[in-house]
Amino acid sequence: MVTRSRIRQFFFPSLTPWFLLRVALVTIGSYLFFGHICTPLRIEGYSMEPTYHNGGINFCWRLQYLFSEPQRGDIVLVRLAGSRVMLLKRVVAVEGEEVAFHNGKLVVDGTEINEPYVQYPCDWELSPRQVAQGNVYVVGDNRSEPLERHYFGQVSLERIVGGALW
Amino acid sequence: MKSKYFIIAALVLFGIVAMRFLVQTDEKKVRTQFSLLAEWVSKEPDESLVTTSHNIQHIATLFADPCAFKADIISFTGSYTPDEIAGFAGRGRFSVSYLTLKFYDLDIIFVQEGVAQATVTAKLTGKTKSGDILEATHELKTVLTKAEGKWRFSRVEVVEVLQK
Repeated sequence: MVTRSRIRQFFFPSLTPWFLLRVALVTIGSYLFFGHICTPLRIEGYSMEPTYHNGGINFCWRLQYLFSEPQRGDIVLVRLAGSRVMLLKRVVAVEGEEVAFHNGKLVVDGTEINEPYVQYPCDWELSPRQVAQGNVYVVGDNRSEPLERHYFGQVSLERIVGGALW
Repeated sequence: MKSKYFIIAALVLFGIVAMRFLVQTDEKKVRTQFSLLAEWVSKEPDESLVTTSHNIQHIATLFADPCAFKADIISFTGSYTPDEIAGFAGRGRFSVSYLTLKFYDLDIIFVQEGVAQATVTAKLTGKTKSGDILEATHELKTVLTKAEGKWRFSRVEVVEVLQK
C-alpha cells in the first residue's frame, strides 16, 4: 500500500510550493548546464572519421579551455557565426610552430608527428607555414580526400568554444 | 468582476503576441530574404524544369545591381549583376542532383537607415550528378540595402575562418 502510494506520488506529485521550487531549480539548472556549459551536439559529416562518425552524439565541454589553451592532439569545436553549427577538428600545431604535410605525414617544426588516429591513406603535400600568435592549426582526422577539398587551417583561439567531452 | 480583468489581460496579451507576429519589421524582412535565398538555391531530387526556371529567375530578385562577392573558395569574387549571380547559381544547381542550403545563427545589425549587416552560418549539402557528396559550411558576412521598400543583398563575403 505504501509502495503504491509512493509510485502515485512520484508520477502525480502534489503541486506544493516546495515541489514547484524544485521543478524551477531543475529547469534553470538544466538550461544553464546544457545550454552554456556542456552543450549537446550531433556530428554531421565525415571529416573526423574514424574517430567520430557521421550521426554520432557528443557534448561540447565549454569549460575545457577556461584556464588553459588547446594543445596538439586536442579535439576542439570551432564556432562560426554562432554556436548552432560548429566545426569539429583536431589541433595539430599551436602558435609559433611551423606546420607542413609531406607524403601525407604531419610535420611540425621539421619533425614528423606520429598520428595513430589518422587511419585512412593520405598523400597531402603542404609547404611549411607558421601558426600566427593567438591561433592554432586544426585539421580533421579523415585526410583521404584531396587537400583542396578538406576544410582545415589556422584559426583564432577566440573561435574555440570548447572540447569534445569524449 | 475578477473574470472581467482576466479577459482584458488575456486580450491585451493576445494583442501583443498578434502584433509581434503580424507586424512586418525590417528585421523580419531581412530574415525573409535569407529564407527565400535558401529556398530558391535548394534543389529537390525530382525538381521539374518549371520549378528550376522559377527559382533561378527569382534568385536574381534578391540581389542589388551590382552586388559585390568575395568568395575565393568557389572562385566567385568581384562585382556582379543579379543576372550573373542567378546564372552562377543556375550552373551550380545544374551540376547537382539535389542541394540543400540552410542558414543558422543569423545576426542582423542595422548600421544606418536602409543598410543592414548580417552574419550567418551557411550550410550547403547535396550530391553531384557524378555521385560525389557535397558538404560545405561557412560563415558569411553580408550587407543588405533597402531600395524601393525592398531589401537586397549588396555584398556577400565568405569569411575564412580556417586559413590554410
